[in-house]
Parts: sequence; structure tokens; C-alpha cells
Amino acid sequence: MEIVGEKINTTRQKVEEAVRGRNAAFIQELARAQAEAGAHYLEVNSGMPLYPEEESEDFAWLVPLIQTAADIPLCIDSAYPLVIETALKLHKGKAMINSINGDPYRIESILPLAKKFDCKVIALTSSREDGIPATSSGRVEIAEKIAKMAQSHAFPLENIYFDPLVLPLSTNDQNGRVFLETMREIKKSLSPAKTTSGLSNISYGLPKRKRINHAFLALAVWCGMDAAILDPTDKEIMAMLPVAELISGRDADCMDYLTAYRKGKLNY
Amino acid sequence: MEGLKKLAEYVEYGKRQEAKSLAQKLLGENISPDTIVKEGIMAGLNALGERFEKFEAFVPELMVAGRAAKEVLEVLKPKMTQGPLHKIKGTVVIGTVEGDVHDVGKNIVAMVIEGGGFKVIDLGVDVPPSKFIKEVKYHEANILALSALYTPTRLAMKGTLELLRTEGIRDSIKVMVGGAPIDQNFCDLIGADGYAPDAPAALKLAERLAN
Repeated sequence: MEIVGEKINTTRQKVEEAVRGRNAAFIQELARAQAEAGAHYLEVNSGMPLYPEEESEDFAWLVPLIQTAADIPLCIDSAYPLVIETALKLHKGKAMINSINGDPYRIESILPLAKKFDCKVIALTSSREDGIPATSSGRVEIAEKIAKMAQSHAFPLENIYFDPLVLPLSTNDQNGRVFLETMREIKKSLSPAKTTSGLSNISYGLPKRKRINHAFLALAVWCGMDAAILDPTDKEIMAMLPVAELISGRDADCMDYLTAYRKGKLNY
Repeated sequence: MEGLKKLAEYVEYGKRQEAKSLAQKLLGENISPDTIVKEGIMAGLNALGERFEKFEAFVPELMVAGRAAKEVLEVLKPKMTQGPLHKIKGTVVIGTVEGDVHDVGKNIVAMVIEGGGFKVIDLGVDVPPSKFIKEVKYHEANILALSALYTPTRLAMKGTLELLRTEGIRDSIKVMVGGAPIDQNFCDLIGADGYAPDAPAALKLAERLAN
């Protein structure tokens, strides 16, 4: 499982303050802590400025700053090609872009960048035309459409991470099932494409959210999730992950589980 | 009164069937629809709202209570002598702004506001400013409620307010905003009339703005 550390995101008040105030130490500490905890990628989001020019300046500051503190690739989270290009020009290694969706203009403006800079791309199974389909077949259809467009750009399918979009259980008790079915179907029908997702939306509006997030991750692992966007400094969830992989048949000869045990990572 | 208290409890806990038959019975006992709205429905929703603010009640419970309140309102409708309740409370046009297809938060708010007695015109997601303006005029709405989850689409909120001004109807409508990337600062920045962080707060805000 690839871990995308989610913490450098300006929807979190403290991160927003740090980015606005150019507090390098705060951001670098977030980067270091997540990399040490086992992140393979670090999500970087600075969506609070109203205009992309300002967001672009944020990324020009953030990208080198973070990669100095943590020598791992970043997951560039922005809606704007301008911002993404600024970030990619400064980025070392194979970045991930978050995200495209089924909208042709987003695919046409972002995929060429992803190709030019040899990146991975997260693709949401939604579009302005279809919204977020209520059924898994509706979401798979959007994924297929994206895969086709990627093909026409000669963009390799294995570099696309489909995100089946997790919606809260609190407003529709079938949202978990639809997500898991979509993930499984995409893994089956669009191989070698990959899948990813955040976790916390699933538990919005309910108490004891961590319980739900953890069980959700375990089930998503069973459905073939390749990358999880989560907080790697959460030791409980990081202890659950190798167990879920072990049970799902994704840990050859139980070696990862035993390594996690010996490193004391299961003691939470 | 015992019956009204019970009704408030049924609404608060989302017991739809029980709430509807009790409302019917209360009407038969010549209790006015106004009293039933105030001491039954609103008392129930407010009690739930208070528990919600204290993290003792949760979003699914807002949904089922909103649904129950809405159905009780249906029962009361034929007996409303001063015309339908929304003539008193007001009409809210609600939607997720252009470029954004998220509707979870918007749906919760729509449900609770409607349960609270407002007429709600839900325009769905990805609603362009011109559509908001058209529907506001058509329904003679007194509140426009704008939702956004996807951060870049906050600009469309600003655009919708600007179009209201261009069309010369900004002063005849109150605008409320909400959604994950929205806060009071942003509300002030674009010159909206109010921000609510959750559905019970949105109902309170709508009642304040409608007055």
C-alpha cells in the first residue's frame, strides 16, 4: 500500500496560517513527521487563495521547502494547470497530481502536463455532466471514459489512480457499499489502473469517526485499494494497515506483517 | 400541553408515523396549526439542534427529524387558515454553486430548513449565477442559500452575489453561505448576509434573516 500523507492541507486552519505567514519550520516539521511515519507521498494543498496566481506563489514556496525536509515525492493538489505546472517545475522525483475527473477540459489541460513531467494522476469518478453518480456502474462509466481519453493521450493507465469518491454514511447509509463496489470493479475492469481514496469523508457527521475510518480502510484494502490518503502519524491506523493487507492476501509469506511487528508498529 | 410535548419528542427523534398521527389528533382537538408548528415541530427541532451542538446528536438524526417535521407540516397544511406556512416563514432558493457537484451538505441544510417550515426550492448542483437569479425572481424568494465544498468554486459564490447586484435585486434578498471551505471571513469578504457552519445553525440563521 502506498501512503499519501494528508496533513499539509490548508483546509486545516493551522496549515493555512503557516502558509500565509510563510512559517517554514511548521511546514517542514509536518513533512518530516509524515515521512518518518512511513508516507511515500506528501499531499500539498493550498486552495484557500481565491485566485490561482496567489496559489501558484504558495506552491513555489512550498515544494522546495517540503522536499528539503523530506526526500519523497509530493501529491500536488490543485484545480489549476498554472499551479500544477509551477509545482512540477520545482519538483524532484515522480510527482502525483490531485486531480482530474471526467471533465474533458480538466483532462485536456492537466494530462499533457502529467505526461510531460512523467507524473501519476488521481482521477475522480465524477464530472460536471454526471455529478457524483449514485451507483457504482455510473462511477465506473466515468472511469472508463477517463481511461479512454488517457489512451488517446498515450498516457499509461498504470499511472492513473482512480478515486471512487467516498461520501458520508450519515446522509446515505449505502455510500460505503457503493464506494467499495466501485473500487473493486475498477480494479477488475481497468487493470493496470490503480485506485486511491481519502478516508475521513466516510465518517462525517457521526461520532467516533476513527473507528469508522479504520474499518473502512480495512475493507478498501480487501477491495484492492493501492494508495491511501491518510495521516501516517496516526499510529493506530498504521498498525491496522499491515493486518488488513495480510488478511487480504497482499503480504507474501506474511513478511511485511512480521517486519511491522519487529519494528513495534503493531503495539497500538 | 402533554400532546404537544410528545409531538416535539417524536419530531426530535424522527418518529414519522407517530408524529403524523399525533398531529392529526391534535388538530382534531382544535389545537391551532400555529401552536402545533411552534410547540411541536420547532420545539423538537430546536431540542435536537441543541443536542447536535453539544455532540450528543448526529447528522443522520438531523435527516430523520427533518423528514418527520416535513411530513407533519403536510398534515397541517389543509388547516392553515392564513395560507401555507411558507407565506409566513419565507421561501429559500438553495443550490451548490457553479463548477461544484457536491450536494451532501446542501441536502442536509435543505432538509432541516424545510422541516423548519420554509418553502425550499432546491436547484441541485453546479448551478450558474443566472439560474439562481432567475429562480429567485420567479419564486419571489426572500433567502438565497449558496453551498460550496470544492474550494475553487467559492469564486462562483462571489460571482452570484455580483450578478444579484448587477440585476438590482441584491437589496430585496438575503444571501446565506456555507460549506467546508467557507467561514465568516469569506462571508464578509463577498458581502453575503450570513454564514452557518451546520444545518441547525442554518435554520436559525434563515429565521433571523427572514425577519
